[in-house]
Amino acid sequence: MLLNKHGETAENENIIIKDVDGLTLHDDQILPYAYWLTQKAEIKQKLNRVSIWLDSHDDIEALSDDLSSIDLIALNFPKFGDGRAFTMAHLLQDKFGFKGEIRAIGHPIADQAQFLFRCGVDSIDIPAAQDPAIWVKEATRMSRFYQRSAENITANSKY
Amino acid sequence: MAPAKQIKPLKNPVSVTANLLLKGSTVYLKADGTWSDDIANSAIAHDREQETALLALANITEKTQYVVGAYSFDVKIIDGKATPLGMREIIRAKGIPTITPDGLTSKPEWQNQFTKSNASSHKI
Amino acid sequence: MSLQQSIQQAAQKEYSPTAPAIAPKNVQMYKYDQFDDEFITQRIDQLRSQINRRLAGELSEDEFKPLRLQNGVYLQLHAYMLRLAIPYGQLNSTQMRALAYIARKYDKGFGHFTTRQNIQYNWPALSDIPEILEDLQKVEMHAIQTSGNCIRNTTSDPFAGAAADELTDPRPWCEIIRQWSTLHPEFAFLPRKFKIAVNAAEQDRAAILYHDVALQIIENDQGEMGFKVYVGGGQGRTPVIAKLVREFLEPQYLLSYLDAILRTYNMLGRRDNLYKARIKITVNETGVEEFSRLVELEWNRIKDTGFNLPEEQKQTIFKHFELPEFELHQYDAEKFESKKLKNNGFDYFVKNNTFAHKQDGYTIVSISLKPHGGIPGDISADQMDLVAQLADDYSLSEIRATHRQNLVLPHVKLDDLFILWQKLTKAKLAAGNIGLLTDIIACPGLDYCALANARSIPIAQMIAEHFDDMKKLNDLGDITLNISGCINACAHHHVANIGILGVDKKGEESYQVTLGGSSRSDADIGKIVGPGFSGDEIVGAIETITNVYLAGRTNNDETFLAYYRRAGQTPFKEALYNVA
Repeated sequence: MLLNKHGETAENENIIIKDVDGLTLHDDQILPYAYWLTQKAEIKQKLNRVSIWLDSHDDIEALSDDLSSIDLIALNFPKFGDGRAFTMAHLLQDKFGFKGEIRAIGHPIADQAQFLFRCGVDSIDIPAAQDPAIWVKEATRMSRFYQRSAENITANSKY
Repeated sequence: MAPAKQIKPLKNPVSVTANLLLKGSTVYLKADGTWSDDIANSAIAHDREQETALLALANITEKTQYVVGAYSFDVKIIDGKATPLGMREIIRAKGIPTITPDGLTSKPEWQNQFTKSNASSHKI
Repeated sequence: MSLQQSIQQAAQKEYSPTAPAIAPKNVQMYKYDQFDDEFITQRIDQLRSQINRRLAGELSEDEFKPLRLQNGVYLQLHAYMLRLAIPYGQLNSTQMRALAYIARKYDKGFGHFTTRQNIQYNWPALSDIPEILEDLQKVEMHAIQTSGNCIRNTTSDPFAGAAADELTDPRPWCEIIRQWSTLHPEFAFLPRKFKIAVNAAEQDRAAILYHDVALQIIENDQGEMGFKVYVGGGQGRTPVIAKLVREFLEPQYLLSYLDAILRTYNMLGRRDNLYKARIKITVNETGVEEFSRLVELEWNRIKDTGFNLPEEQKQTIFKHFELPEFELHQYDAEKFESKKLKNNGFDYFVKNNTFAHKQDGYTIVSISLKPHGGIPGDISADQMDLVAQLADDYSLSEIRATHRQNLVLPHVKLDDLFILWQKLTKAKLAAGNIGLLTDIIACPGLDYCALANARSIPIAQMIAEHFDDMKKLNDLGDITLNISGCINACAHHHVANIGILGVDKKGEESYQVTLGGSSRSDADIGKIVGPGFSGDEIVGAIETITNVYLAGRTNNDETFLAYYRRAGQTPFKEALYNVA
């Protein structure tokens, strides 16, 4: 189940690929970052829609030249306390001008949802076995902010 | 013939403690799986196997959100009852600090002075 | 009794018939607007729902813990502990009365002021915490980000806005940082906690060089105000003095520069080892030149496109801190001097507990929370009410909390000082020991804290009881003595002239002594003098150390630290361990 910043849910059509042995490429796959780095040309050629996922320690700077050919970047939370994805989302959107979809995957918690959206994340892959109703509620929990959100949006923010 | 099962010994016997999730106060696991605020009521494990069993028992109530942070700690047995070893557990078992607002632990009355009903002793 | 009734009743007690029911509105501090109030309401609702989800089993303790910590809620040895934010240490009298009310209603009738200018309560139930926060909201206070791996309460000079030696008032800048850092979406799950301190005075009364970011407000050659920026200070198991990364930051860029520092740290900070996760380690491992190069690179990217507080909104915040109207009056110096001559206690109080005010005829008064044999930083609800009343009567309703766990009345007329001292004396709050050996910083230690290895408070009490001769204390002069109950160093033992660290030595409490630390602008980290002492031996060891100093100093003007820096550890080692 996917969640967006308005607190709306949608079915998740994507599959996160961890093991690339004998992989047959499809548009609905989210491919590992290391695989993308070595197989860029083939992936670009075969797929209409390119999606890759990064772990929190992966270097997003190395992606900056390729961003126009990527449609979706998923940022993994290996554990919810690892907050690098917040900055990675900000940099993708603000520094590199990434126009595709930014998604949070792995193990975020519902209480992080609004922070993620405010940093530029477009969708969150709600971890299996969690109640989507809680995520829907938390996505719009606060309506007063001391900071502007991604793309300098000032709605509901104090300054 | 199978060799006799090795049961790892413990350096000291142990009891299991936790804090109440809602209130935060210290409690001790009894043999029946319920909790007491008095360490004297706590179940005692004498070897690793018993310790593991007690922790598993504690885990059942931890999963019902009654207690939090269960762990085992060293005790010594006096008159068949557990008493804490080590200053940390001695202080926890008393449920209050070893100090009074106005003086030192060496003052004989400290144990009774700092209860909730006597909070006025902290007055000016 | 409701909070409102309690505040009114407290304000109408016998202390003064003229006391207002609620603190006057003209206190020079940040006042909430509707936005701030609605923000707090939403935040409390969020915590309440998180507690309910925890109780329903929808949040595990692992998930709940960082969420409750970011609202100041710890689980300690005997109970939950709630740490409330006192932004840069400033309180008005109404807020102090509310703290007294909370101490009585939800706790055991007292509170504990901390080294981060906050207050904590030792006994609240988890179920009461949303209600406590709602009471706090009524007096414009909260507990947000007083713990957790996020940007903590900004600390500052407790004499800010009053001190004669300050260049400008640092508080508006602290408030700007407070708002920017509050629920900053990008920096709520940092590798580790993050503390920012601001100073604008000549003296450093906020130990700024031991913060993750230290901002010293300076004036450049053109007479323009700006920030000297230091990064990577901290205590804990690896004490480090912050390093200079920028000589002069133009003030309009403060927030974008802080964003750049935090963003760099969030990406580079270690997440594999809790003890190596603070920015001090990041800066050491990356190298300060490389770290600041990365910060500058990011800052140059965002300085003009990222967020900096617009001038107009900056002015709005500054307006809250406009100086109060001081009465111009001539104080009676002759009468004042004669009172000092007649009262030894008053003489010591004036000497040690007052500091030069920027306005003639006024002084800054420190209230020591280190009475004879007392618990450093602890204060009863009745004492809180009294301090609130004294603030109303003598200090324009303002109070400050200091990082040395004392309180301050920042705007006291010299003519009122004697009567103030008499009233403090009656309440056992007149200890004239500010800056002396018994002005001890102590953490809660093993008596309360789940992390501690040894007790701190009884050691502080024993030392205070032993050194209770004011003449001797004044002879010893300017000495800092801090006691931490574990290596996390909450009581800043590394940076005390005499530091005591409690450790667990084979199940026994043992106390290690360090000498030569300083938290002021001549910052230094103390060095271990030798093997530790037992709880029974430690007072004797401190006595020996002070005797070495008294015997060895060239004259009364040579402070303990100056003597130590000249003589080194050898004479102390010889005396403590009988080695030649």
